[in-house]
Amino acid sequence: MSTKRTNNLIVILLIIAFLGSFMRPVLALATNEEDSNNGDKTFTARARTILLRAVQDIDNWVRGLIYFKEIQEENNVLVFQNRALKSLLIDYHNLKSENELLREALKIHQSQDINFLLANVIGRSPLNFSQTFVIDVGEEDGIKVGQSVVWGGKTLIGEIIDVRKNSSTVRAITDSEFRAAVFVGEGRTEALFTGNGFLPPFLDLVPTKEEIALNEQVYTSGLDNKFIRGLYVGDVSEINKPEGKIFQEIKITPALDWTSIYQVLVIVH
Amino acid sequence: MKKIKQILHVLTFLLFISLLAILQITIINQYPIGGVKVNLVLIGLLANIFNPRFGKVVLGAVVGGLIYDFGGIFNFISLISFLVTIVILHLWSKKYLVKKNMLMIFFFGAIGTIFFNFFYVLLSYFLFHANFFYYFLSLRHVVEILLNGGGAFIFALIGEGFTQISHLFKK
Repeated sequence: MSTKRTNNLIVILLIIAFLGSFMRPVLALATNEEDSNNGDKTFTARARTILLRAVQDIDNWVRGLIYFKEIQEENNVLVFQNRALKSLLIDYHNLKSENELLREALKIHQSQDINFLLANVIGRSPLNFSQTFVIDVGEEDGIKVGQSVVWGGKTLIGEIIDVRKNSSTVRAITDSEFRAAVFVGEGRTEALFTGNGFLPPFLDLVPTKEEIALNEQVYTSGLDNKFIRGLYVGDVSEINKPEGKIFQEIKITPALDWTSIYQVLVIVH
Repeated sequence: MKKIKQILHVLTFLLFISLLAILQITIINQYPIGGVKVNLVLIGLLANIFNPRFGKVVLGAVVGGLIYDFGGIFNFISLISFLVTIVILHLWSKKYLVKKNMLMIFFFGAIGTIFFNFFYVLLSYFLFHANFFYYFLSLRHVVEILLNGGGAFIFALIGEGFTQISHLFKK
């Protein structure tokens, strides 16, 4: 009888010892402690860690099964929130760029006393003949034929040629019908800027005796009573002085490509 | 039932032309080939020039022309040019061609581009004093003619492919 009791006691003690030795690394793992022996984990500790992870994975999986519906609903809500946040982010970026643009316009407004109206590009000319685009402001917004259209501070994009109730057509500076009186470079050489369709625009009426350098800036002179002075148009990209001719052939690289612009500013005097 | 089917056919075609026109006034501008833009609506219409139901092609010309005009200056010149071009080419093909020929689509695509651009230039000049003759006589116009001819041929080939597949299913 006594041997049986002793045996039972030994078994109980062994179970307690086993559980105790098993719980110790679990506690150590919970508190991120490493085994005391040279900082390395013992074989049993590693085995226990693997076992614990396996149990944890099984537990997660079972929980996933039990709370599947709740998790799915939560996921749907999170996806929805994520999309909503993304759309807000787009709004934020749009507002940011609009804000920067309006600040730029405000500077010009303060210095030159001119007003701007922000417009979105809603269509572009479909054919090769004309280089025009449609904006979403019209007669109701105070738009009139002949007003200048700019972007990015003071870069000229075109002029209004047709106004409807809620939309207007803009002739781009590259259109073959576009003309503007301009100055070239710091020397303020007078010239006539002429659009040339898909080919580079050029400067006309510049006598061969005038000295024009490459990369010189071209900007409106205001002498045509159409555009205000100082609107940036482009840079000189090619100069030819043909013999026997009185005018130079000067090609221009436009400052902006109108086909990739989605917003513009109309100068409303 | 047959009438509903016909109406659906016409509506699908109009939707197709509208889609081409919207593509033309939005993204085509950013992708010129050889310095010119292809004329998607003209290609779509000319690929259907041998279509026995010519009424729907005329309706397509009206819809495409209106969208083009709305995209640029609203002066109905595109609309008129489309109508005149496809009517002339349709009558021409009816008079001189015994049966439909796929290679002829390329020829009609090229000739159609010349006709359309010619009417556009002429009407713009006489009605709105806009001088586009420089483009009509330029090398880029030749490029556009070839591109539109090729485009009409490809469209017609794709259409023919779909017809053959539907015939197979019907059998």
